[in-house]
Parts: sequence; C-alpha cells; structure tokens
Amino acid sequence: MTDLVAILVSGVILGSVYALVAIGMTLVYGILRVLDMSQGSMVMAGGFAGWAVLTSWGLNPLVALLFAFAITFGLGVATQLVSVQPLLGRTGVDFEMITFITTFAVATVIQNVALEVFGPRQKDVPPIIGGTVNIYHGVSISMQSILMAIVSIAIIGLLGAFIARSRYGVAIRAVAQDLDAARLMAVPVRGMFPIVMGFASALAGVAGVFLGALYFASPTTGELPLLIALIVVIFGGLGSLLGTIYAAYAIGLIQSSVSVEIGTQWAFPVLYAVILAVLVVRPQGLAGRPSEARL
Amino acid sequence: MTPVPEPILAVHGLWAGYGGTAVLRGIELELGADETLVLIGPNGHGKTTLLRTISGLVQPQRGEIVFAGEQIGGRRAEHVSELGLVHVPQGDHVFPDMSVEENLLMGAFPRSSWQRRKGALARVYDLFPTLAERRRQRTRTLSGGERRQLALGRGLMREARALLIDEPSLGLAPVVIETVYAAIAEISAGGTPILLVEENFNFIAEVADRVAVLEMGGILRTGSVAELRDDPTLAATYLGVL
Amino acid sequence: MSIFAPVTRRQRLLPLSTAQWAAWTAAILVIALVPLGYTDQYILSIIVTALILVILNSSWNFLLGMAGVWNFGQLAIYACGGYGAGLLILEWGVPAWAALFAGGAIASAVSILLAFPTLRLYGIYTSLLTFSFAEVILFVILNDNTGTTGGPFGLDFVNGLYPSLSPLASMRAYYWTALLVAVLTLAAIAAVMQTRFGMALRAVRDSLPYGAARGISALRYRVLAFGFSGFIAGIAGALYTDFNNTIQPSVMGLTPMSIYVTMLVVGGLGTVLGPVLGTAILVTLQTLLVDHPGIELTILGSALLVIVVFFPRGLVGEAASLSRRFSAWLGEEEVAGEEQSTP
Repeated sequence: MTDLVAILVSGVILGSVYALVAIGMTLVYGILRVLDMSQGSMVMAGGFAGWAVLTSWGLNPLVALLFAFAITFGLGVATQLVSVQPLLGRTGVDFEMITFITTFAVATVIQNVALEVFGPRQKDVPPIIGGTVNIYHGVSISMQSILMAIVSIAIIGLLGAFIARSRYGVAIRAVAQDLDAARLMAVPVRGMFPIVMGFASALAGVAGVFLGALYFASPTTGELPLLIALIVVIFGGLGSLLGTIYAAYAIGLIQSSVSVEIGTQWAFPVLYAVILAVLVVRPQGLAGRPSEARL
Repeated sequence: MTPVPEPILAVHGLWAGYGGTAVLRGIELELGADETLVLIGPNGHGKTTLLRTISGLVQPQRGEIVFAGEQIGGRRAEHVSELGLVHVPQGDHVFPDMSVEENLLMGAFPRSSWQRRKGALARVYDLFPTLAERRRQRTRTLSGGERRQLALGRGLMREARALLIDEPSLGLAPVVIETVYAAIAEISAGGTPILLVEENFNFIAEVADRVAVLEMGGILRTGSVAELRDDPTLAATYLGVL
Repeated sequence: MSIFAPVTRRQRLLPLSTAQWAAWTAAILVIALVPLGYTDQYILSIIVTALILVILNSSWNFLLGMAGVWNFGQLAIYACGGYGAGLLILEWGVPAWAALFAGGAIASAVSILLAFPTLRLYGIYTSLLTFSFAEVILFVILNDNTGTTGGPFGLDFVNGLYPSLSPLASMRAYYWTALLVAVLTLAAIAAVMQTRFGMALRAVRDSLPYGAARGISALRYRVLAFGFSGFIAGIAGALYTDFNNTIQPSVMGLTPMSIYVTMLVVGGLGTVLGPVLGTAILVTLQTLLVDHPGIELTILGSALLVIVVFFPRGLVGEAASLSRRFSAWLGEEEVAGEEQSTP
C-alpha cells in the first residue's frame, strides 16, 4: 500500500510537470505543424534563469518564475523567427521534417552556448518552498513538488479555458484546423506564430525552474525533458491537448511504478518498449485521429 | 450628367497561377458597387484561381487588383479580409472540430465585427434557421447542405464591403440549392456587391445583374443574362440546358 | 516488367552524358591519387572516416530524403553492422571480408524489421518509433555485462581487413577500399533512383494517397528500401570496425545523429550528391574547429540554420533546382512566342 501511494503521488507530480512541457509542444504542432525540438533546451534555460534569480539576486522566489517565463518566451520567439518563419510556404521541402531538424539545431546551439557560459558543472537550484509533508507511512513529498504540481495544473487549466472561451482562443483553434480559412477570417497568423511558440517555450521555462530545484541545472538537462515531451506528445496524439494531458499522467505513472517496483534505470527502457508496443498497435496514439496516422 | 460610380473591385491585366505556370492570363474585370456579377466558364479555366488571387491566397504574377480604391494585389489574405473583402471559398472550409456557433463567431473575428457579433448571429440564424437548430453541433456531423449554409452564414457575420462566393451549388441536391440561392438573393437585394462563381447556370438568372464568361484564363465576354442566353456559341459550349 | 527496370527507354544505367562520365572518372582518380603523394596519417585517417560517413549518410539519405521516411534510428543499424562484423571476426574467426558482407546482411535484416511498423505510422510518429528502437539497442549494449559487446567500452581489438600491412600501406588500403565502396554506393543509389522502384519511392514520399491509388505496394517498396539502406549502413559500420579495430556504443546517440543529419540537410536531402557535399563541408569544419571543442556544435548548428534559410533544399538541391529553372526559362521563351494571347 505504501508503494501504491508512493507511485500515485510521484506519478501525479511527474505527470503534471510533463504535461506542462508537452502541452507547449502539442500547441506548437497543432498551430504551426512544427515538432519543436528546442522545447527541451527551454526547460534547461528556465532552470538556469531560476538558478540565477534564486541564488545570485536573492529576490522573491516568484520573481524566478516570472523571469524564467520572460527569458524563455523571448528565446521561443527568436527560435521561431530563425528556424520556422523563413521556411513557411517554401516549395520543394518537407516542411515538417526540415523544421524538426532546424529546431533541433537551435537546441544544439542553445545547449552549447549554455555550456560555454555556465560551464558543465551542475548548479544547485534552491527550491521556492522548503520543507516536506508526510502523506502516508514513510511516503513524504516536498512542498516544492506540491507547488510544482499545483502551478502546472493551474497553468494548464487557465490555458484550456483561454483556448475554449476567448476570442484569440477560438482563433488559435481555427488556425490549427484550417489555416487558409482562418486567414480568410482576417486572423493575423504571421504574428501569431512567433507568439505561440514563445508562449510554449515559456511554459517549458517555468517547468525548468521547478525541475532545476528537483534535480539541478546544467547544460544537458534539456535532453531528457525533450525525450519525455516527445514521447508524451506522440503517445497522446499530436495536436490533441486533452490527449497530451492524459498521456503525460500515464507516462508519469508508468515511470514512477517502474522506478518504485523495479529500479530507476529501468524506467526509460520500459517506457521505450511500451511506446514501441503502442505505436505498433495504435499508430495514432491515444487521442489522435486515425487519418493522421495512416494514409 | 451623373458620374459613373467607381467599381468596388477592379482587376486589370491579372496574371496568376501555381508554381510558375499561369492559369489567369490577363484578366480584366470590374464589379460595381451594388451589383451581383456571376462568373461562369468551363472547369479548370481559372474561376476559383481568380477568386483566390483576389482574396490573397494566391500571389499574382502580373497586373493589379483594386478594392475600394486600394491596391490589394500581392497583399496577404489576412489584410485583404481585414479591408472588408470576404471570400466564401469552394468546398466550404468550415472548421471541423468546432460547433456551428463557434464557426460563425470566427466569421466575426475582426475586432469591430466581434463587438457586434450578437446581432450578426441573430441575423444569420434568421436567414438560416437550420443553423440555429444545430448551433451547438460539431460541424463534422453536418450534411453537405448544412455545411454550405454554414460557410455562407459565416461569410455574412461581418458587414462585408464585397463578397466573393465560390460555387455555392457544388455537390448539393436541387432542393438545397434553392435554399442557398434564396439566401444569396436576399444578400444581393440588401446591397452587398457579390462576385459569384457558378458552374450551374440554371440558378443564376435570379441573382445575376451581369454575367462574365471566363475561358482559357481570360474573360471572353460580359453581358446580361439575356444577352448571353441569346449568344448561340456560348449557349452551346458553356451553358447547357437553359 | 521488373520494378528495377529503368524508366526511360534509353537503357542506360546511370544518367550521365559522356562528358559527365569523363569528369567523374577524373575526379575520382584525383581523390584516389592523394595517398600516394600525401602521407600525413592524421589527414588521411580523417578522409577515410569521412568516406565511411559518406557511405552511412548516403544510406540514411536514401530513407530520409528519397523515400521520405522519418527514420532516426539509422545509427543503430550502422552499429548492428559494425558490431555484427566485429563479433563474427572475434568470436567465430570469420575472415574479415566475409564479415564485412555479413555485417551488411545483419544490418539489412534488422532494418527490414523496422520497415513493418513504419507503414502504419504517420511521418513524425515514425521518428519516435525508430528513435526508441535505437535507444533500446543502445541501452542493451551499454548494460551488457556478459562481455560479448564490451558494454560502454566497446569491442576488444578486432583485426581489420589488412592486419598484416604496414601502417602506411594499411592506411592507403583502407583509403582506397572506402573510396571504392563510397563510389559504388553512390552509383548504386543513382542507378536505383532511375528505375521504376526509385520513381515509386519518390511518388510515395511526395504523395502517399497518390502512390496508393497507383497501386504501388507500400509494403514491398518499404521493405526493399529499408533492406537496401540497411545493407549499405551495415557495410559502413563494418568498415568502421575494421578501420578503427573496434566499435563503441558512442557511435550512436543524439550528438552524432545531429551532426550527421546536419550533413544531410546542408548537402541536400533527397539528392545523390548531397551527402557527399554535406559530409565534406562539415568534416572540414570539424577539423578546423578541433582546437575549439566548445564552439564546434554552436558553429555547426548555426551553419545548419543559415544554410536552411537560404538554401532549404540543401546546397546540391538548390543548385539542381536553379539549373532546372534555367533550362525551363530557356524552353518557355520559345513556347510563349508561339502562343496567341487571349483577347
């Protein structure tokens, strides 16, 4: 029973953070048809931003979150302008494949720059809230993790409401469903694209502050979140917000169960095996439409 | 002498096409400020391309397009739409995963139209009662005729300064076409200038003030319905049974 | 008619004019003569490695660029060939030349396994499938405690193709072997792209529904494409093992993958010569930056972004497109003169 509680708690917390990172990716795919491989490096950048604010400047911890949001928003906009915008409408190229590669190149550059600027050593990011809470016999969670889960869920909830209700939210959905029709309704798509990507990166940046405290900040901390986000997004069905959220929690739970029951180093191989199996059996992921996977 | 009113839309020497080839070869066309001009002609000769070039989805290779006194040739579709030129495209292009009402609301996206969306919705539901019944329905589940009405209704959510409508009768049963054209007639009577592309000559007589024939990428001739009906070569080749 | 029959009635194997044949032969001869006059082992070994990469990248380009399959697990196939050949030599004393082809066959078989699930998957999902597959293989090798593959440290010393030659002679031998295989690979790919098989691959890449409507059996072509590509990658892997006398799991992973993909994109996905140009440029860049390891990846990544913005089809791709547009422009001039403009 202790195990079960540990698995659930850990899984939900992980799932919430994964959802935060992956939702940006699925949003970008839905609207720009780009699989943004720089999302992982945004998590890393957020971690460093949080580290800078929390250690060097001694400001209110919430400033760390806002600062990380702002920095990664800017990085995201820049990434879009450099690696996606110039490729819009070009003939003779497979847009999805080439933007996959260019955003990946941006990630490599960001990682390398971080390596040069901050050095390879891991930096400790202090948590925003200290202390732990004892849930059940021997199962305790840090307040930081609880905060992380709450903030993630809150952000996702707000995002969902925005997309479902507001004027721009409907416009965003319109662009994802039929770009030309949206343009005919005077939706300013050209300006929308960088902002959406900036926002998606900013979500990852915020997650990065939390993950930095959970683990550490270093130039390579972006690789794992990227992989996980990729897994979540494809598992959940590209472009489907709800599917991404379900998948994030599913992956979080799978990871925590394997870690608790078998051992942490088995978590990823098991995950990959599960992915392989899922993709073979249900090629469109959990919530994707069959037409997206087949012909 | 009363001066001749400026056409709301004028196309001069327009060349356009896809990937280097030219589908439109020197189009000359004018749409008056309160007329409904119907464009007919054989399939594949450029009718849809013309509308798409005017609305900005296709970039012109040569020539000019003037709308309400402004040069819009080469401008992006979003800008052209913002100026009040509304294009109801062929094949509807309704947003499949939204409700009927959300689709209509998208039609009123520009800020000024958005503020007046409640009134616009009421007007469109009045014109198309079927849509009112299905306001919360996902458009994926609509029939062809209902989708057509939705596309048309969506185009009416703004006070358009001119409407481009592409093949409203495409793929519809005759009974449904009548409903659609009744609505178009009402819009036309309301004073909005319309450039209508149509394959089916049978229904246009009710709404057309003038007809233009597009063949091989150029305007062959223009005239009233009666004039074209009396032209034997046109009748034989393009118009079928009258 | 066999799908491997050439498309055009001119039964030529390669789309080259006599002048082009002469030019290519001359160029290859020049490259082949280098190790005779130039004996710096460091530079020669870089060129050999580059040639092996050309072979690997060409095999990858075949699937990624020509067949349009989002295959991001090619390095695992490459490693299968390398480890396969190496283990055959070490454990079963198979002669190196036989092991070379066996490595290709093993890699081809593994590659064909991948072909089946990719058929049902949308492009991007295939990337995850192939990448997961590669990660599983990497994991298996890294955690191998049985001593077979040597785990993270790689294989024990493998006698390569030319164990009894002096260092310089051996270097030259590998150089010419790699050059020969590279030339054969490029010729084979160019020839295949001329056949109905090649055209079908391109048709399916550019429009899957069209291909299906034309009755192109996706399964057959996928399997053949993966098999062909895998064989070449396996040979490249075996050559790597022979030349370096070992192979480690570090040949796989995100970093080498991103570097090689950059080579493909810079050169031009889907073109025969793209991998050659891309590999040449990037290997040169890497060699120049060898004293500045910190900024190497930054420069490579930036180079990719710049090239892609100005030449999205890659350098070779854009050159080919320009020459096509030029001849079309020449052609169109005459047509326009004959046509009557409509009133």
